[in-house]
Amino acid sequence: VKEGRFGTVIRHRVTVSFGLDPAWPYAGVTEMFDYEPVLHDGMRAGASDWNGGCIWWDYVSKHGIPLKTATEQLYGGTYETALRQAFFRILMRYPRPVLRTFFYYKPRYIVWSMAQSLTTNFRGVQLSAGDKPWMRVVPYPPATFALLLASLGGALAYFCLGAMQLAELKRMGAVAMLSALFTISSYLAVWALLHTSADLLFYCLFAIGLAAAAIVMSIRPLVVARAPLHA
Amino acid sequence: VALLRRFPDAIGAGVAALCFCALTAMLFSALVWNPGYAFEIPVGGIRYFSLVGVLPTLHILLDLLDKSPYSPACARQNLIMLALQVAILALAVLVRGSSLPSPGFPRSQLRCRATT
Repeated sequence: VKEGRFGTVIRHRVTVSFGLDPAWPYAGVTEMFDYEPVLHDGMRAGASDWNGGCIWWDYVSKHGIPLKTATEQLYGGTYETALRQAFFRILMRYPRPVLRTFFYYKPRYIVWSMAQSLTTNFRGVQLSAGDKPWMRVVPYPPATFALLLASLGGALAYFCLGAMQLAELKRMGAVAMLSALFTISSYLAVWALLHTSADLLFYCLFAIGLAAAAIVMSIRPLVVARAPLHA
Repeated sequence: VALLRRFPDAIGAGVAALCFCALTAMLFSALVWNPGYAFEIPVGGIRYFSLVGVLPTLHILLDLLDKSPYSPACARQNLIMLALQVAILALAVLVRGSSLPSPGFPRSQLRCRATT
């Protein structure tokens, strides 16, 4: 806590996320930071941690921080302060590209990551990069399909039985939507990738389940009303 | 268990049923079958830990939205269940910081409190 390492390096990630814009590094941004004595390569395209390093070494040289302390403070509280200051400097100088990154490219990443996550491979078809041993797709054992069917059947049976009212389902939906919205905020601040947005994928599947439950619950009265006629 | 004790009505069971259904369905997503992503987010690994906070989050939000009057004994029991869920959420946040925004707390807020 004292060194500012209690939480994640949020300011680092927010600042580095400028790299999601294909136009990064913006014209003139490399001249804003003096990192030459340590990092000769300069700012890189993409959301690279290297760019955070460039900003950090600029801060180190401007504040006269000794080299040993600078390496110890990497990703610490002072590093986060440096990245926060850099974020606002870049925002003030390039407001349009920054807004474009946060409100155009990042939402696209969220949609892309959800679409990719929702792809299935029930038959265990190998990927094109299957020549790498560690990229070999392991087919699902048959028992897992039974598990999925049991889980879906259980949820379907619950909503078919009629224990839940539509008002309660709406309350569940409102709570899930609220939580999902809060979760999305972090993916707008940073960025969404498949392996970092498992919680958002969960909410997507939860929402699909809620929609299916709403359909079942709206059909149920019709089925129940028709049943005595057949009897 | 805490969720079902706090909401013994249809909502508790509905949330639990859908949660387990969604988690099972996730086993068939690209996060599991695609080795490139499974390597980055193994089931039960640190990145998967953000899911531990989901059920406590739903419990907390449902509790906050519940305006029904309760007897003192019942209210006390609800508070205990809420405390349990907060503890689980705190554990999830300590392991994986990205669990924090889901109940609506910005991460920077925690950092400010921690550093002051």
